[in-house]
Amino acid sequence: MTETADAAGPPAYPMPRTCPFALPEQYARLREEEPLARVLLPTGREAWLATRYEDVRRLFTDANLSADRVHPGFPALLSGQQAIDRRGFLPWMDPPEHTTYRRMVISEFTVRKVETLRPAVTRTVQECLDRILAGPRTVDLVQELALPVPSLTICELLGVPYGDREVFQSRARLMTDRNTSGPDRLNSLVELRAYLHGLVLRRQAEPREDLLSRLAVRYREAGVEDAEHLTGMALLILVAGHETTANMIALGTAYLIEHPDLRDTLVKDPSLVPKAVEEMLRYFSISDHSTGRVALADIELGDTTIAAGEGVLLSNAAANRDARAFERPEEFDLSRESPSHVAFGYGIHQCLGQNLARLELDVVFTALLARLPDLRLAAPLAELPFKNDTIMYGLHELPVTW
Amino acid sequence: MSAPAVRRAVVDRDVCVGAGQCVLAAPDVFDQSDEDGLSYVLVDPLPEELTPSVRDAATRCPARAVQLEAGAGAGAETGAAAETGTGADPAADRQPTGPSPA
Repeated sequence: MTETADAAGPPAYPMPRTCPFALPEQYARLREEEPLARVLLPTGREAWLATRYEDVRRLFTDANLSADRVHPGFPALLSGQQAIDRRGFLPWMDPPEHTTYRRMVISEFTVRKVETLRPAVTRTVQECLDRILAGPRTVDLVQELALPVPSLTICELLGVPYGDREVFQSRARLMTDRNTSGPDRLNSLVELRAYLHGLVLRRQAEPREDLLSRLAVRYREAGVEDAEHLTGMALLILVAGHETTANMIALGTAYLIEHPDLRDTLVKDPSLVPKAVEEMLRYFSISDHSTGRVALADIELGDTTIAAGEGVLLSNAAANRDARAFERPEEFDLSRESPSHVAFGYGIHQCLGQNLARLELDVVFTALLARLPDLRLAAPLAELPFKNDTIMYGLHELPVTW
Repeated sequence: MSAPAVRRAVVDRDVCVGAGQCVLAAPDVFDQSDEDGLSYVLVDPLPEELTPSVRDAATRCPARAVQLEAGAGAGAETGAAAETGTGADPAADRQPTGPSPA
């Protein structure tokens, strides 16, 4: 039988990529012909997929779209998310709860506050590079640089004592390793949560000069004496800031290796690294699969109505390559003026840690290009294990040599 | 003609979510409070040469909390509306709360 469009029903989502640095091919067609399209989720449910920049921004700011993963209409890509303990998880909250808890933590992530972490991040990056340069000349950059940098940065941020960092690191590593079995992965999450819970109790009893202590005080002042909720917030900071940044480091490094002209430009003029980081954020848009919403009321978009209870996926990757918003969107272009991309989302849930991510990526690529300018892939690009099967796009491993 | 219209940059601190986009776009105009992390305006009225950076900040602000007010009593202009020409920007309906932190 030949499949026809009608018989086939809506296309399956997530959609496959044919090139690791390109978007799924169907995005371009949908953006032009069907900017709000029906798609079939892995769970068997259907949802809407928005692919135009203006539509995506408009929907991200629509108060009638809920981020509540527990809502029965939420367009989940995985089953079982409803069972996760969601206390403290800002990205899954709606106002007024979201407003209350986001406001408790905003002052920890201001542009100025994040900048004070630069010396610590720089030290972490240089120590990772010292170890890499002292070892065998082929390494997995994901394990040796991409994961340790954000993990140790979060330790620094949360105030995890030095002596506890190996416990923290090993559990965080298990959680992100694809070879970890399902039960072991869940177990490492439970152990991390238990560790953070203990740390929260200690800081509640005896506050220090760190983020968790300050949060404990703010929670108390707001009348929230809930250690579990605060533990959830700490876990969120870890989860949201760990694998995301690691994926950007791995993808960015692979991209720079595959684009020697760009790499040479940055080696010659490291002041362009922040521009390159911004363009990597737009170009990779790794959170494309984590921007679902569910409609709480009917929403009109053009000629289409998203009915109350229906799920919507806001493709920030498709939006970030919309020619209506970006000239020559398929080009990696260091001369773009303003980073108006939606790689960190848009609306009230826009990534709170985005300026920390920018800082980490700036420090990593600046140091990497200075100390290992001749880095090469140790396996063909086509054979690298890109994360086509996870919520965040990235690389499971990045074997490199020099 | 009289002098150019006086403009003011305004942050609605009731809707600010502390993403820091305005500080990145217009560091001479906006800062974030150490106390609560919310943005506030450093210069009022707005020097003419800083107007483009405030438009940029308004476009990038995820909460649409940044506005460019054209003179006393005139309507607010958001960067998003200015760029796209859409009149349906929800931010245009809001009343700004003023340039300095509460």
